[in-house]
Amino acid sequence: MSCLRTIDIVSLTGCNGIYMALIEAENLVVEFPVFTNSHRSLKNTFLNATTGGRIAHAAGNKVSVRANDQISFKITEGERVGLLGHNGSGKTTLLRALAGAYEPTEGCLNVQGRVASLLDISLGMDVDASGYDNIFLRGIMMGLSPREIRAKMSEIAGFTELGEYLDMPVRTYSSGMQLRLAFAVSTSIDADIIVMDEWLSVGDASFNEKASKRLKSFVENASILVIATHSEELLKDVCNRAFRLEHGRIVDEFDPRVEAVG
Amino acid sequence: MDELGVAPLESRRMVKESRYTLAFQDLLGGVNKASIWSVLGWQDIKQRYRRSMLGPFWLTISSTIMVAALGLLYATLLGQSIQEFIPHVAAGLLVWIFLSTMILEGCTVFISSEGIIKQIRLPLTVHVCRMVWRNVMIFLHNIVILLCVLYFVPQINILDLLTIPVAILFIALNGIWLGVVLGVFCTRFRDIHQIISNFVQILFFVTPIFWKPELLEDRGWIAIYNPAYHFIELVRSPLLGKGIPVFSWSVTMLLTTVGFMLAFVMLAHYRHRVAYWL
Repeated sequence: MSCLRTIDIVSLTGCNGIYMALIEAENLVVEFPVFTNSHRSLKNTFLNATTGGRIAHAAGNKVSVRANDQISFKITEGERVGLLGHNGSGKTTLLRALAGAYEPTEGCLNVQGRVASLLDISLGMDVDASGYDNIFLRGIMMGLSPREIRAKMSEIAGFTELGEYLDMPVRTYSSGMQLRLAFAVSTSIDADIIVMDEWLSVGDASFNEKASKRLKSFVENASILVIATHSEELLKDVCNRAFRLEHGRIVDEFDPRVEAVG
Repeated sequence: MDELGVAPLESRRMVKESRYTLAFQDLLGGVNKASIWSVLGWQDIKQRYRRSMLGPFWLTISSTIMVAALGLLYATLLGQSIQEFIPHVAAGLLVWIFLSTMILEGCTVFISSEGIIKQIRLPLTVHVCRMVWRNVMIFLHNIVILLCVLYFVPQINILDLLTIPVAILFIALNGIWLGVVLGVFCTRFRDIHQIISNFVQILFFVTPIFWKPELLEDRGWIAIYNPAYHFIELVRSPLLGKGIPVFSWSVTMLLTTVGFMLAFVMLAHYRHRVAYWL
């Protein structure tokens, strides 16, 4: 038995304001089936069905990976949560579950608020289209309506400092310029909950400072931030709550502002 | 609970919504998100013809060449009159391309949207609608050919011709359930795509596109039991001035109903698993 509830707060405006941004997980499990070639083919499923007995028994023990194991927490408005843990400890999977991409295999997850997923900010970009087209495409991906994008277009274009390049295909951009564009669009939306994999840093020194400022105000405008990171400094700087993940479980929770990480 | 189905915070418990409700929301919500699928679908076409001068009109040109060449070839081979045969081939081939591409692309509809599905929560139907929309746009580029072909048709019935846009919309509607059903199946079992593409190839030859069902004589069941034939007839019959095919409309409507029921059940049971299978 599992459940996922997502409520888009933006769509609820006008409902006498009792709705607050919130993430609530109860025994959240995210478990991936692992398909080897033999598992994924129809032949095996069919053979299993016909032969029964021994092979069917073997098929019963399907290989699966528990990326998040019985996680429970409640994140309320104003909280900035950092996720710590080794590679493969389930941070990104948890972020994807919060973004609503993976529905819990078991347990419950309740997400209230408009989620901005900054897991891959280049998602949806088309290198052969112009910079302006890409602002549009990326905006659509972030859930903006065409009208919203057009309203934000000049602000986004101005921030990128790309000038006339915006009329050129993105293919002609350097990777830094492409990142600027993706970053500018991704941080231009109004979100209640931000889900981020590592703090984004873009461009050269001077631009990075400007970008950092924008990202900070983007995060400040949101009610909740959940960020996966390896950096202790960032954790102290940005977060007021931290979870340490190991083998898909939360093994430790602490306040990064008071406790030393370790 | 208010009209949005949201309980007030203090009395809210984590309620499990019925999987059928969720499947229904997916279908309806997906179709409703036109601002997303129309942009992405059109982007797919633009991407394909980037930097070419004629752009998407290459679609029209290649279809024209195919219809003209194959129409002439088969008319000669089968000893049919060219004037009669070209419209038959044109309508048959264009609808076939429309339908078969939706079937084949339906198989990979979720696999090719893996990046989006794993990051952004969208109804799965959005990805299917993007694929269907792309193919509708391609078909619309080819519609010029059908207009030209009218020149060969001796008796044109304007009222019957008006059913053609409805038929096209109706075939597109079928693309949605085909995409959902095949997409879910092929994401889970990667072999199915291969099976389907072989099947579609065979189907092409047993469907009266380059030959006329009258040739079958007592083997007419080959056409009668072929759903692709009926879908083609929806467009071809009124175009060639043969009237509205009532029987084909009934068969395809039945098929659409069954298809959407199947898609609904598939979504209810496997919608939440698709992201895990990618």
